[in-house]
Amino acid sequence: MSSVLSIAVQKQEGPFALDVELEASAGVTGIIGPSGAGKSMLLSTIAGLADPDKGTIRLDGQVLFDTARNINLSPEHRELGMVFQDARLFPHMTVKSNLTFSRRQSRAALSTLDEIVDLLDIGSLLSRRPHHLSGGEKQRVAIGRALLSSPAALLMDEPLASLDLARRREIMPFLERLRHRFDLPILYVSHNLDETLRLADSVIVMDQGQVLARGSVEETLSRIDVQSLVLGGAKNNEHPEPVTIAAATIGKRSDDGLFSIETPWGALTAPNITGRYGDQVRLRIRARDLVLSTTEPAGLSIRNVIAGEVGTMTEAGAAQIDVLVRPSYDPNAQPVWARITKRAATELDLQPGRPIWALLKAVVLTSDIELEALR
Amino acid sequence: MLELTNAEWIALSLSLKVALTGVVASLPFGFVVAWVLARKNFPGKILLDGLVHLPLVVPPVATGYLLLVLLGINGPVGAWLNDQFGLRLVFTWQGAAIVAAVMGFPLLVRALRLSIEAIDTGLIQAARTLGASPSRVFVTITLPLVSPGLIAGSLLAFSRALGEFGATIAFVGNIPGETQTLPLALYSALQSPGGEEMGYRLVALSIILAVMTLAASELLGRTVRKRLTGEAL
Repeated sequence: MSSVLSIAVQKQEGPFALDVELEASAGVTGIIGPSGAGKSMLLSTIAGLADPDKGTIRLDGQVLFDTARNINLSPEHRELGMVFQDARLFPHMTVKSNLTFSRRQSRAALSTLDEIVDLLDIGSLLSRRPHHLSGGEKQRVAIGRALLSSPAALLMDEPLASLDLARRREIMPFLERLRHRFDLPILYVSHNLDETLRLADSVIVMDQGQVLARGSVEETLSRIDVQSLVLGGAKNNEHPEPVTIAAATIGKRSDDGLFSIETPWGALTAPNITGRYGDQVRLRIRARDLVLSTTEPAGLSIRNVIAGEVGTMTEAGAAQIDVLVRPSYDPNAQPVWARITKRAATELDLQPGRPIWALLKAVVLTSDIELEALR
Repeated sequence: MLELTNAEWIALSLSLKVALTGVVASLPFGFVVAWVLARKNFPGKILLDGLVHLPLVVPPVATGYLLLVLLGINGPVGAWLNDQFGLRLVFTWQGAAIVAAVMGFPLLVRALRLSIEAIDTGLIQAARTLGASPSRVFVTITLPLVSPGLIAGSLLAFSRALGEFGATIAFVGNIPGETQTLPLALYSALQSPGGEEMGYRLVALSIILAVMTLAASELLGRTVRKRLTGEAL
């Protein structure tokens, strides 16, 4: 049986006020937001490393913290695994001693040392000291150490943030693997959109200590306000290019090498994707990769077309405009963002409600996204 | 050259006994005080810090005299110790060990405090989330990581105790076999006519002892640091 983590906490620290309510069941709940949003503070309060002023924290009905009932379990009694941004391996112990440090026995073992070593591919490191490990290796050991404490839920505080691009690529497959292997609530804090896209099953967006948005990854992270918050555009008065995120299923590969992908907008095709028939995946469509046409396109090399009508139009700087295309066959279907020049919008006479065809130049699976350098 | 006479042996072994007892006895107190100074904030912290450092800056004779006032048979603490435990500190080697502890205390606390401050509190948090109680954290994380400071501080305090003169002579006097440590024996030798030769020998002995302590400190420190991090130095 998998656990449920329910949290409602308030904490004031100087002018900063944290006020978050959330419930997480098995799977990865991505907590995303700019630095200073209070994401790490939230995890600290859950782990028992910082006390909220008010609220409750429950794990499977067990009360870990409750101001009304004056309950505040110390971190060692909370049965939560935590992975920190800096791996925090014990420098005076070997990798193996780090992994087996936890003596927690209150619940059935989640896994064995052998399995964790195998899963994270750290067998060759066991007799080494943390000092001799690379950043990526340290983080893998830290993840293994947390899992070997047999937690009922796992808290991950930006585990990839201190790593360079190559190390991040190295660790991502391990994180994906552990998500599939363990039936645990995992709170995954990050300020990186791509990381969250690849790992999270649902997402909570935080800003200034509050929850700004929550829900499915596709819907929430396709929101333009969420994207500009996470990518930092709002602060710099820039206009980050919107991306549309959609759930999809990989279909058959045709004889000429094209994959068919089932999307909210019907079957699209793509030549180069990694994945197998039937895989549930996520698509990322950049707004610049869309071409808009006011007439039904013919005689073009582009194969993927979404028929719809113009929805909201948002200015993006002096010369460009972001157009939301709503599929016409179903008003509830997920819309797609397109970025075009203002001049084009004027010449095409785009108005909300006009029929429009959106041509997709590129469709990328989020599993194929190279994790970009942090912005 | 260095075949020790009986009197020299007595002075040497007494010095070692006094210094060792003093340092070992002050370790638990030193640890607590260093911990409080490193990790706690409270009103009067500066006062405590100053008090700890007092023996380092006050003339040793003054410290010895203060100890005599406090711990002497008629002193407030000394009278109580005598009544309760029959423990007399004045003119005894135990008194000399107290002097050694007091004089070495600031050095011990300084070294311990620095190494406690150097411990990443993040490691302690990580250990707690892994289910370790505060006492297990202390034994498995804090103590091993503090050990370089513990060794350095102890040996520094030990050296200081070996060289102690002023406070010792003021508090417990200069009694051969009971309170006459090496520096006091040296002083006596130089005061008596024809004592130069013994003086030279005691000077040489003191230097050898000091060098050995320093070497031990260096060697132990290296070994422990290497053990702690697996780092080649």
